Amino acid sequence: MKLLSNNFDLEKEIKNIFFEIFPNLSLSEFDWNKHQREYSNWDSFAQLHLIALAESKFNIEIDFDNSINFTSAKDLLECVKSLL
Amino acid sequence: MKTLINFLEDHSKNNPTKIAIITKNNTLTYQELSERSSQFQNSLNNFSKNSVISLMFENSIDFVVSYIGTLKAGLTAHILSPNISRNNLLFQIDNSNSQLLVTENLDFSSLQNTNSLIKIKQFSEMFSKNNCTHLEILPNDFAHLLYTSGTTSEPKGAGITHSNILFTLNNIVSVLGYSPSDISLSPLPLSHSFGLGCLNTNLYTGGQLILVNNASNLDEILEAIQKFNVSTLAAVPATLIKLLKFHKNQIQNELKDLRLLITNSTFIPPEIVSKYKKILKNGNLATYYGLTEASRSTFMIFENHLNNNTSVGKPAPHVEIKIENKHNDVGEIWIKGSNVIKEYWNNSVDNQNFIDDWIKTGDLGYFDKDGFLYLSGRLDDVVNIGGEKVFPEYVEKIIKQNNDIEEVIIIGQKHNVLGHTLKAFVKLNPQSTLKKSDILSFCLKNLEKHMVPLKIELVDEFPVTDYGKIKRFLLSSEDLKK
Repeated sequence: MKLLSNNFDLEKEIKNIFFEIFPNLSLSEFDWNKHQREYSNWDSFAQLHLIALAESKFNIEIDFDNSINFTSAKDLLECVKSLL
Repeated sequence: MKTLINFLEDHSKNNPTKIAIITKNNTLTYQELSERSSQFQNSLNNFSKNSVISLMFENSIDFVVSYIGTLKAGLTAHILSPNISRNNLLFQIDNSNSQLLVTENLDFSSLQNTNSLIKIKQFSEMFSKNNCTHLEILPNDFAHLLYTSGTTSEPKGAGITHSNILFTLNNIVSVLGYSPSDISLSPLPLSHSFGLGCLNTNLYTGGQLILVNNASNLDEILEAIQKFNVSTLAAVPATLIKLLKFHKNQIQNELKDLRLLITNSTFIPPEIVSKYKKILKNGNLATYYGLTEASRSTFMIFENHLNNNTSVGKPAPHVEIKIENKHNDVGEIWIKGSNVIKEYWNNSVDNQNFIDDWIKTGDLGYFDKDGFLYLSGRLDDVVNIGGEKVFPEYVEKIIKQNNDIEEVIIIGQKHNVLGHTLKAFVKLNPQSTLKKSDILSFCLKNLEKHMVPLKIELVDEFPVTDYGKIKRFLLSSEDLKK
């Protein structure tokens, strides 16, 4: 499991995942509460890629129910926190 | 129509003292092969024509005598690997309806406590000096029976007729130029179509064949090449790769005079092809594509001026190949020709693969504009992801562009939303420090979104068949167990 010294590191990693999956997302556009529907290209594949990257970076398994429920960066952050 | 036996008898008459087979400790002339195989034939007089006799031997002169003797007797030689598993052995004996198992110093304890009633005899018991009964062998009589090794399913018996054999031998000789002056070396098991084809080619042309028992014994192979002034070498790609890795300098010298280096249709990395093209200063590297049930359907001679190192070549003479059920240009390979068997042995289910003299191979491939065939994987491996068809081998090819990755296998996994998604089993190069997330990032950058594997598993080794092919179905089933 990746060791994170604090919440700041965790948040940074989650942000990086979002920037990787949504390459057109700028730093100023990033908002923890921005909803899935406000992203132009957050489709079912992007959803799965967000989960896959989080799973591989933190060496965790996100179950199916959690994987379909999150709709914002904050949701993913909370999901990962609960599994670390 | 002549059969292989007629050609052999011609060589025995015309060149009786010429050595046909060389092993580590022994040699056999054409006359000796003719006489000893007739004695073996005589010991089979009690069996009715076309009965099946199982032969289980290491690569040896005794096997060659037994095989030819069985064919001369008008019987069908069911050829078994000495490394066969117990379950497979029992299955094949039952499915083939074999009447007798002939072997040599092999352990048959696995047949004890089973319902198998097959008789077992040692090779040394199989000689009779009674007069030969001369049988008429018809072109459509079965000569031998081989079971496919099956990387995806239960073994299937392929009964090869005398006319199948002769058609394929004609093609091998006309395309690859084998002649009586060739001295060939084969470290391939004679229980496999590739190795058996090498033996038959030699007996057909009247050349000399050196048999090596173990393809991993690179020193013995190189020593024999030098000692016997070998002109053709047959080897699987794994042997070629190992020779380059462990004997790079030695082979520059020892292989340079080969006329032909023949390998088979398992994927050969293009850089390996390039290296051998340079080493073979006076000869060619060639490969072929075929199944046990449709032997040598294409041939590929790698030419220096052509940039098609990943092709398996063009259809063999008088063999037709078509691509059916295409998706883009890729579809299932169908083959038609006198090298194709008519049906599987006692197997009504898989006989559905034969339609109007075509065999549906289950292999995926495509032709380029110049008519060269390329393989793209197995039909069974195609994964449907949310309605999009994905060919695992394509995804593997892209991922292997990452220099840190030595090997990757992609399989489909069931998924609640998309039907299936992909999982990658990755073997890293020894020095690599790549993490799973790095591999995923590479995939996200280089693959279409539906092709990105959602699971990555790092492995040290892959499960492989005796012949070095990765057992994809085992990866799938292991994964399902989890």
